[in-house]
Amino acid sequence: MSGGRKGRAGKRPAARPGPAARPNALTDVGDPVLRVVSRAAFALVMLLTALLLWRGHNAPGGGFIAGLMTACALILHRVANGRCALNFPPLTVVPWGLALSFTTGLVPYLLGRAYLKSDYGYVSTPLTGEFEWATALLFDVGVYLIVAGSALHIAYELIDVNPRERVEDDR
Amino acid sequence: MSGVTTSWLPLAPILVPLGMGILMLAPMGRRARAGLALAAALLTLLCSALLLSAVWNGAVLVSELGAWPAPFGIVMTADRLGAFMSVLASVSALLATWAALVNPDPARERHHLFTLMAVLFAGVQMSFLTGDLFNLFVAFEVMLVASYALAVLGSTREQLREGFRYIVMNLAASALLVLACGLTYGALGTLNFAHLAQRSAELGPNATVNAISVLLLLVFAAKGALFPLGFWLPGTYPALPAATGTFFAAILTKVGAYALIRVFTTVFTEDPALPQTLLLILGSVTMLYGALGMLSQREWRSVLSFAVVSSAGYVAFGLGLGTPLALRATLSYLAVSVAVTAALFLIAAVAERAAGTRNVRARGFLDERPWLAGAFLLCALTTAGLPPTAGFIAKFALVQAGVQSGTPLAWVAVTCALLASLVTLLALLNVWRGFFWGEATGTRPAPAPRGTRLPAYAASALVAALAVGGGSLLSFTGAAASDLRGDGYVRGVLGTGPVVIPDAPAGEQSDAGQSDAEQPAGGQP
Repeated sequence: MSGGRKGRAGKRPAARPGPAARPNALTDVGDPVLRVVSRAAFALVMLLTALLLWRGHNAPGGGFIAGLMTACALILHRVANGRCALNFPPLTVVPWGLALSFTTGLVPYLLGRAYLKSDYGYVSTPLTGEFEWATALLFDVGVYLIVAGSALHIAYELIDVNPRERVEDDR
Repeated sequence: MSGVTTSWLPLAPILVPLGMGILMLAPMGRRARAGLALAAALLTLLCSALLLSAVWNGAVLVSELGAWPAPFGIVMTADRLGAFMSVLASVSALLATWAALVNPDPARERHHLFTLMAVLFAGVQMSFLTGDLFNLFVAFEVMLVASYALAVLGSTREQLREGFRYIVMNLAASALLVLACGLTYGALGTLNFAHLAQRSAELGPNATVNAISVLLLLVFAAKGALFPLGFWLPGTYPALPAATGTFFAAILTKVGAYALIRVFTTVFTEDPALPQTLLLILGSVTMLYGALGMLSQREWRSVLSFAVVSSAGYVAFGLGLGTPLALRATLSYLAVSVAVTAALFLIAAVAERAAGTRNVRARGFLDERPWLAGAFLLCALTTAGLPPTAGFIAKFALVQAGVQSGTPLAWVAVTCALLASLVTLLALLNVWRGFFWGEATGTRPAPAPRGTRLPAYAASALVAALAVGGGSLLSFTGAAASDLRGDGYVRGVLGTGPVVIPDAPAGEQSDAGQSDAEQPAGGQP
């Protein structure tokens, strides 16, 4: 649902003709409705993302889908406000995600158990009742970082595409 | 489950390059990154060698991912064949890494050449060690994604043009592979190789299983560059940088060959007539096509790329014969082919650099580079299959198996094999005459440092060592081939007892009931 809203919202500023149509129309979007709606939508989508990371669509954790939704939310934010919500290039989280996922699998392997074997246990807190934790969540967080980082990077690269790029032997 | 030997070893050759590859993403100087790349290659070779020594006596080792046992979880499996291929891949990886280290390429290294190579190595190792059809697809993808990036890394015009063709062809083949996986799961209800073997044996000769196996044959034929499906290969490999190209040429088509061997000797063995006939026909045509292609080319690595195509044909020929003798010969030929292809591509890189041109007609290098000439002659004789080289041993075994098989098609294939060898010899002697013979013409570029030539000599020494150790190679591959015929692999993975599929837990009963109820409804018109 949020994906569809993002798609419609994304087209509007680009399709609108007029004096504002400059080469990089995305940097000065002045649509107040979009900006106000996107602020609420952004928060909601991010909440849903956290939920999906916790419980994937066919249960346990959905790092992949959560990463994609995060990327969608951040693209919506950029379309509405004309700037990225992150103050670092998204690609930098990809190696960290890879390392996190890999290490999650590696630790039991180095301890002499099966690779990717998940450890789990139960804690009880007064607020949540009995609560199951599993190290597999760390793996999903890694996947989340990889997917969110690379999807955002691809989208941003497509925004900034320059068709007159040269290759090595084009001189 | 009784009789299953779990071990950490089958995973080690996969995890080492993968982990080191991720580590190499960290910002560091060239020296540190090069050191890590070399350490990764050496450590992978060590793990593969340990694995080979562990399965030397016919044991089957299993690594369970997440500790889920065989037909339910994904397992990495190493029998003699898998460990053997893993060692071949590690050796080629070491040679390619070495070649990349002595030929600095700042632009490509800045864009993570070493990490991509490490991921490629991990994908190849996983293809050789996985015990699951779908995981084989995943391994192919890991390997191919890295190879797509490597194919276009550097963005020269030639790389982009050839890389596009390579990517489209392999994406199509991968789509077909995942389709075949789905059909297999639909027909047999499992994707584990051992379990598939068990179930298809229970089913006996079956038209659906046959159709699936032919579909898989087509996919692996495309990956292994058999005749009509291998058109992308002779254009792609020469466009690559030398070190990457060496690994591509030595191993990537062999992954397709390995998958063919695994699927048609371990998994779908009930009705071998149709796949074997197809393989014999495709193999015969591929051998001749590759050899004639070699004759038509005038550039170093274009000639050698067609040699790779031709060698894929020999593997298909041996596999199409299907007898234990032929299988032994095929595995020996695989080892020889990997070593000699790596050596020839490394020699080609040295030669191109020394002559300053890709063309083979540079003349007069016999005086300037006598050692290179010697190494090339050894490798050329090995490729053509003349004594006293390892190529002769392997091809002789192949032809012998073909003659023993004795069917008309086998005779045709044997004729093609001999003819292709002759044409190969002619083509490589053309290279010899053009490059090493005669008087030097034109100006030469400044000679490259001696260190850049060492990988080529090391690979040639390996080719020579294979000739010396031909007897033990044949006895080992004979043992590996006899493993494939028994049910040792199946028992090693699934244990000695029957596979018991537990009942669905109570919570999911209603779901299962619903889908059962839906099926007849869907079938009604």
